[in-house]
Amino acid sequence: MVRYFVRRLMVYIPVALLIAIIIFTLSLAAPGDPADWLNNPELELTPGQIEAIRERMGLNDPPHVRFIKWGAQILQGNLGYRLKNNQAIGPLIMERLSRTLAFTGISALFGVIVGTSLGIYTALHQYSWLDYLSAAITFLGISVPAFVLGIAGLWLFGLKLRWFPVGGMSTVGAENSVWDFLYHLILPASMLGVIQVTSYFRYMRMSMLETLHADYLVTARAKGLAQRRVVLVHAVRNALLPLVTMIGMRIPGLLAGAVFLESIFSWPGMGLLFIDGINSRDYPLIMAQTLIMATAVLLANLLTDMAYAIVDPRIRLEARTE
Amino acid sequence: MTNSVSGHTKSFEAASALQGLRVKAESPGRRALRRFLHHRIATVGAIILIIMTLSAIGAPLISRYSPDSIDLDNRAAPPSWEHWLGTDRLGRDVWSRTIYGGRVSLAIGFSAAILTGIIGTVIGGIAGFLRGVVDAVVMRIVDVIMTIPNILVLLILVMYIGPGLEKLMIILPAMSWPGTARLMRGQVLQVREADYVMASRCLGYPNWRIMLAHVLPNAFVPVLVSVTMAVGGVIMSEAGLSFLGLGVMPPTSTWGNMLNQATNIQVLQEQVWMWLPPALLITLTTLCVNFVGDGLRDALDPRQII
Repeated sequence: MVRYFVRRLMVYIPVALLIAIIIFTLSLAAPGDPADWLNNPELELTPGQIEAIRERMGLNDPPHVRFIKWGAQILQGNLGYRLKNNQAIGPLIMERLSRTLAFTGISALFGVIVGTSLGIYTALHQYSWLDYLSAAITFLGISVPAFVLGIAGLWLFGLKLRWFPVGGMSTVGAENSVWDFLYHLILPASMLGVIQVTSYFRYMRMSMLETLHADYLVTARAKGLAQRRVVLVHAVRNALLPLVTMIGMRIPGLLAGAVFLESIFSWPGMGLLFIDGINSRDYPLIMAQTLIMATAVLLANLLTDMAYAIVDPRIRLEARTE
Repeated sequence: MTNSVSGHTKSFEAASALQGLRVKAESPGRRALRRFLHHRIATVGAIILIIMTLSAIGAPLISRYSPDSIDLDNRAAPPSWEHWLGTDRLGRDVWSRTIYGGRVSLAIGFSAAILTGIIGTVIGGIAGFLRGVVDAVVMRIVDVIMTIPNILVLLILVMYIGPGLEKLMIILPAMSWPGTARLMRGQVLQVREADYVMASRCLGYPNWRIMLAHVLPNAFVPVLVSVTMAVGGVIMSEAGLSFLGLGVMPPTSTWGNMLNQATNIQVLQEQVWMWLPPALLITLTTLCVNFVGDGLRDALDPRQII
């Protein structure tokens, strides 16, 4: 098990390093001189003094030295400061990340639970009305972009039916209430969740249909096990395997959908912060956020690989015999 | 007893002629077309896409007003006989803007997808065929771009290169090529193990000739399907970027930047005609493209016998 973990790490660490190098190179290529942020026409600094500032900020060091210094800074937790108002980026990202995680986490959970249940049910009851209905909704779910669904959902449930608030994270006067937080979260999370449901549904159904033809199920029935137990315990457990990898693969898509939906519903999370940064050309913020999100995706991939190894013992054994 | 070959041939032809049969092999293209048309949903999708493309090309013929002409007396007017889909807040005809917007969106969709296909196929093919250092380097770059979520890559590229229609033609393929490249590389890895490739190498053919003559035609089919699906993806990405105000800039209308008006609560609630047409059209286009892609995949599958 440990050996498998180390092997997966060997794959991901070069990618992480390459991402860090690319992000750092991009931040070097950003127009504007960091020394200018400390400058100010009122100060009337001479060119010699500006040079001294640049020297002190380490801007004249060769690129690889700057990269190592930047890397050391990141590992110590200092992610830099925003161009806009000099706010420390680290705590800002922490705050926003928790909100986005709540958002995407609930959508993913919704998607997985509803999607897999529907997939199992329709695989067992093929050609029922639910099967056809789900197939139709699935095709729609793949084709509708996240933000179009968000706009439509906002219009229908927020404005026409007035079931849910039209945006934001909290109502004035109830900022600390958990119920209020969830009340604001339901609509955006369900919109993202619906898109997730369609993918999980499709894959679960396909996987289930393949598993139902397996020989070991014939054996189980021949042993005299009840059909219900055969299906629920043996078939479903094996059909779930490909889904574990799917969950990992969907995470970049989740983050992408979150960017648009946070914009539409004014949910103050990472996505909205990213758009804010792009619009104000806030390079330090964008680079820090990209780094965090890419690391999150790699971590998610690593966790998915580990989960896959736990759930499917064949993976562990294959690694050992190599 | 003569059992000559010519004797057999003559009797075979005689038998066929008697029954009025003509023996003629079906070309692969015709077979693929027949199998595609058998797929009813894919055919419907293809027909809808053709209708859309024709109306995009013939946009001046079906819209009465120019998409940029402002009619200040009739601002934010609901649909009527004068303006079939109403007007937007500046008094421009929504029907015209939708049709002309379709022109831009579809043009970007098709061209960016084709560019993605070309770049991805070339890079993926070279990486898969040459293996070694080239393969390792290319695959690491592909991994990096695919690790960072799509939208973030797009937004970062827009931040550095700038928004606008022409720049979008570079930015969109720059985000999508890794997917195609990875697919192509996988196919090439399979094909290069085939015997006919080994035979070609033994005969002394240069690498480029083996790639063009043998590897490319056989690896091509999944890539073609992927590029077709990519049209939908690119249209969605362009719409997303324009929706955020970072894609095609006004006054040029695209479906995405017409949807941008829906961020205003008043428009969203009361002036539905301004954002519903582009929303429906984006969905319809992506739906049809997905159907056509599914149909193509089934039609071109070499393992099916029919």
